[in-house]
Amino acid sequence: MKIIVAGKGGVGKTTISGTIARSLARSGHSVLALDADNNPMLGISLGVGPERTDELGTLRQALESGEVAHQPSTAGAIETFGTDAPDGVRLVVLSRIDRADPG
Amino acid sequence: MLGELEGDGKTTICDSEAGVATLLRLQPGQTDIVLVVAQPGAKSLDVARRAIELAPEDTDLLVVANRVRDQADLEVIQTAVGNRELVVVPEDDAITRAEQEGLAPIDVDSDAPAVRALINLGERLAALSPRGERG
Amino acid sequence: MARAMALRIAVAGKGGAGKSMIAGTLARALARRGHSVLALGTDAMPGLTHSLGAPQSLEPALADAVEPDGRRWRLKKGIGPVRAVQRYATTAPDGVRLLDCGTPAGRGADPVYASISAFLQVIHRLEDAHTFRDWTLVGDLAAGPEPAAVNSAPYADTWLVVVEPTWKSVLTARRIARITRSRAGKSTLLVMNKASDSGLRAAEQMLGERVFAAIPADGAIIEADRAGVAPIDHSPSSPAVHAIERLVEALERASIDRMVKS
Repeated sequence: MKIIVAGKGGVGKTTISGTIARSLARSGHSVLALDADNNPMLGISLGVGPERTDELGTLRQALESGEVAHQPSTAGAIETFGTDAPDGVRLVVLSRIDRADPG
Repeated sequence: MLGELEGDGKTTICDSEAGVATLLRLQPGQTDIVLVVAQPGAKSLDVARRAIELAPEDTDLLVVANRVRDQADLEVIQTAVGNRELVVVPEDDAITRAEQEGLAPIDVDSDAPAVRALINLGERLAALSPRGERG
Repeated sequence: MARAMALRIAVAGKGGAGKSMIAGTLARALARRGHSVLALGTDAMPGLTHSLGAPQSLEPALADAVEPDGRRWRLKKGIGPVRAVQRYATTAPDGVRLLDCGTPAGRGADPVYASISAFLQVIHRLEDAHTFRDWTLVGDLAAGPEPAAVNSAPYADTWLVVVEPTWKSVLTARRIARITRSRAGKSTLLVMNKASDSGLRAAEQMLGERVFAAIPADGAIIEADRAGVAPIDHSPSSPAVHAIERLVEALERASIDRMVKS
């Protein structure tokens, strides 16, 4: 199942996405939470904390600017540009290129 | 990437860019469900209407009415989105506290009204599809 | 007098922090103090129109200013910043001109991208336009750090970074300030919005610095947003509007200080 959460900045998309992700996981789903925002804050709403969230943001910036290379495989991307959140949720930050990929 | 993940039994939930940019780039088959989040304010409703227009035709769409204080707030959102079901998430101090502390709302108070509403929505979505294997 | 002191302000911050509200109210307040104000709605999302109390934009749409150029767009012949403002800007109360990306009708991405492209090309040529030399420019930027990273406000000498007392907002503000402070000749000022006494203290601790100005949490602003009316029209005597008027005075003083020092 693939869900996308949309809306104006500041309406609560991230808070809502994070809470639903945790709930889906508690309901037994294996959840991948994808942060497509160019200012990724989903980590906070998932419960990984401000520091780790800030680190992921910096990593994404490095990816966008070319300082850090893209991963050739999906598994590699999930490993490198992600972090574990509570309830078994895996959080991954996406760059512009990932978002354009029809997968 | 998304197709590969779904094959592995993963459920993906994507927090998109502010606005409609992510929706604009979606290819067919990339999404099953679009959740459009709206608050009872003019700017938010303008974007919500636009997002509803732009959502791909092969997806299910739900409108989440967030930070609703009263019937008037509910009505202004319902009017803006037309004849669609609204999932209502009330204004809730627990969410405010979570944002200030940098914590997940579900960890601050899973019984708070807004958090319960979101947990219920998660459970409803979970039931829509066969679940993936957990770890 | 105020007219001699053209300000060049870009308002940045996390989505929902209150950029449009602050930019719009600032623009109106500046105009009331004698500035000729051009407000720039750099965000493809609506916001500035509501906060300025500007009329909804009629035809022609800004996307008309450009024509396809391979995979991009270029400004049509004869259209530069002056003509673009003449033709496509709306007029808000107090004589504020508003040039906005707008929300073009029709499905699909093209009209949106054309509009944004037109807008950015006009912005980049604003600084060279003699006509606007004495105008005050107030830009309402898109959410997050990206506008700072790509410098979508080349006209700005002052970046107002709007921050709320939340970690998401603070992380965003820190990221933006790191970027804008690395550029010479720009002033970066943190403005706290929706501030309470405890929220202000908490935010300054998270930020690791004091803010330049604080705009109090104000129910009247929420009401104005729900009514779709500009705050300065809806509740001109409210605490937040007064705080923004004081911010205008502080920005004018800061601008004089910079001129005196240079």
